[in-house]
Amino acid sequence: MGQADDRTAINPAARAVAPPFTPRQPDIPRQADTLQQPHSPGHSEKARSRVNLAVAIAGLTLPNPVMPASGTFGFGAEYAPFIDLNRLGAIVVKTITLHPTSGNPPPRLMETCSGLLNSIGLQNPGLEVFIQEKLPYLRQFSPPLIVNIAGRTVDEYAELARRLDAVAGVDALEVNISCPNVKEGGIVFGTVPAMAARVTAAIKQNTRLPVIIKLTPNVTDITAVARAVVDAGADALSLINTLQGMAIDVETRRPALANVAGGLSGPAIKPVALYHVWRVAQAVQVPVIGMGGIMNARDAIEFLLAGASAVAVGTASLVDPGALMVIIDDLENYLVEQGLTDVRELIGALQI
Amino acid sequence: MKFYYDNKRGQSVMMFTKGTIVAQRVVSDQYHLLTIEQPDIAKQARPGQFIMLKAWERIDLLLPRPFSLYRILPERGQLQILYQVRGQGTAEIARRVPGEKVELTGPAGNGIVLPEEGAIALLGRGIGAAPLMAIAETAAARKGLAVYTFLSARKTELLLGREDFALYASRVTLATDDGHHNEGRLLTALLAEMIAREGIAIRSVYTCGSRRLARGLLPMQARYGFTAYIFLEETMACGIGSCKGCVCKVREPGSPAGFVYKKVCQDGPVFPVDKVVW
Ligand SMILES: Cc1cc2nc3c(=O)[nH]c(=O)nc-3n(C[C@H](O)[C@H](O)[C@H](O)COP(=O)(O)OP(=O)(O)OC[C@H]3O[C@@H](n4cnc5c(N)ncnc54)[C@H](O)[C@@H]3O)c2cc1C
Ligand SMILES: Cc1cc2nc3c(=O)[nH]c(=O)nc-3n(C[C@H](O)[C@H](O)[C@H](O)COP(=O)(O)O)c2cc1C
Ligand code: FES
Repeated sequence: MGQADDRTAINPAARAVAPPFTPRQPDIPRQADTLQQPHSPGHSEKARSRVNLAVAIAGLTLPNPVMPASGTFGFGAEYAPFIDLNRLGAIVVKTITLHPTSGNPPPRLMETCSGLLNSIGLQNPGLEVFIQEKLPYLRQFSPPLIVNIAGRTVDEYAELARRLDAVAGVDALEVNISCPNVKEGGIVFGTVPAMAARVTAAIKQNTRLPVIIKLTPNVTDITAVARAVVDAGADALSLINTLQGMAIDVETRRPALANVAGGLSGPAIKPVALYHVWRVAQAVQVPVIGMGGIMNARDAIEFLLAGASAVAVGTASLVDPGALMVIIDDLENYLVEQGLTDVRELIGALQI
Repeated sequence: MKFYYDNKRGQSVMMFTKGTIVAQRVVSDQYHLLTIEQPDIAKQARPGQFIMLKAWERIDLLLPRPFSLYRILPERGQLQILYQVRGQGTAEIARRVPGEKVELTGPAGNGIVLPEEGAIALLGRGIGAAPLMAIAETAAARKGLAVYTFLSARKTELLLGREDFALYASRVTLATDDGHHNEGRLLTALLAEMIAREGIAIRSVYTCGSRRLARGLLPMQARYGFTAYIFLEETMACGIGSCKGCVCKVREPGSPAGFVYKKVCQDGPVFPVDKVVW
């Protein structure tokens, strides 16, 4: 692991991304190749079937540790033409707020070097429409459904938790605490350990569902927030949400995003995300879902080795709608190649 | 919002696949015409739809780029896009040569509904001619439908696709800012003049490439009895409606703000001009 020339080990089809700035390639190695032929030759079905990919998180059993990241997977239906949703480790939907949220004005997106800045502003149809119109569709799939929620006040978080507890088909809540508390000067919940803990406690009091708190990296010490929310009852943690950033158009001297600042995602943030996951996994006893810049199975494996029990894939699905399937297949191939029989052997297996 | 487009998307299946470059031709300066072989998309695509195209493997350049379908050639299993080299993504596309593979997602967005008969007008500014060509070609296949095309640009060399339009349109009217064609007059004025002079009843107008042109069509709708549509562009990431990054403001009288954000990729890219909040 970790050696540059080792990069084709996961997938003999050599789908790994070539070094940047290569002039012209005769043929672009394609993720779709593995999509159409998920089981790369060389691994017998027998070897594959002996591999366990299932992991447990907050009382849920995930058939494999790979899930979409909230906000990059819509409400699932958008990806149905491209992938088999039943093959996911879990389904994670876009953040739901109590009332419909219209979001920020455009432009909302700006690509930066190896990254994507977004300022969507949590545009979503609100809880009621989610329950009435989106949930019935999502219920038909077998992987656990994780509903991501956000509030503007502690009470809104509590109400979201209470109402989602009462509907069938929701398996866990993921709590986006990267939003401002309108009652307390607009301070982002997730940046103050005590405030993050209060949100967690209020949600736990209002639901029997497992609660996953999603941490923001825009803090001085992420482990302080992690410990505070675990003490308040969080069943699992997910991290990282996007890093605050901006870009400027030098011709017009205006910010590239109408909202001026946005959240950075994609491969650019992977080392930061990995470091945060590694630190948090050591600081708390609950399982961690790692994310931030995962583009392929090797990236996912790094997060598992750093201590994550599962991973989420965001920006990669925007680049290639089939990315989640490729990552699941390649993770399995890696295990077979390494002679491992259980993905859990990788979790926290970092050697220092 | 289902009243102005052909909502047959349920029947066409969007796919992520690869295609092979068949031809790459420099049309003018920074403008290229790219022909891609991808029969599955070519068979399903309709005018107004677009593809997300990725023609590089650099990890520093992440997102695929959206391009309108300039021509849809189902019998040949090919698609054509007319594109302007602007930044890194389009520069990469310009480097690709026949035989090379590209990744594409499509057909994305909603196709337009053409009237069975009568007359339509296409108003394109610069690269805005790109999505109009697919309309002209499809319309030409309908016996009773006349197509009047109006193209403008800074100078003659930038009047893109005018030979192609000449093959399909009943008439092509040109205007250049340098005054070489039609003294650089506005396409809306030229359209109004044609209607007034010849009494042609235009049913729909499609425009792309200039918001000013689209706004100019607003007051003309009632007077001349046509419905005008614009191809909107917004920066995109997924192109399939999942990220909510590509929104535009669309009028919605009942809503608190009087407008809602609609996704250009999934709800568009074609919108009636009087629905758009300018
Ligand atoms: C639905 C749709 C259809 C399109 N069809 C065509 C087409 O047929 N032919 C064509 O040439 N272009 C088309 N575009 C625009 C095209 O996608 C952009 O020019 C392209 O993404 C630029 O990529 P780049 O990496 O070269 O430039 P970047 O480095 O991303 O940007 C370079 C410059 O282009 C501008 N730009 C970037 N994205 C867009 C955009 N979406 N619209 C307008 N300006 C942009 C940037 O502001 C910047 O000034 C379409 C866009 C959309 C949304
Ligand atoms: C377009 C976009 C929208 C997002 N929306 C949300 C959201 O609604 N709620 C949330 O908790 N995280 C949201 N995120 C953050 C992702 O879930 C994820 O934490 C982050 O993008 C890092 O992962 P990635 O690098 O794999 O994308 C969004 C990210 C992107 C790129
Ligand atoms: S580009 Fe993602 S929703 Fe339109």
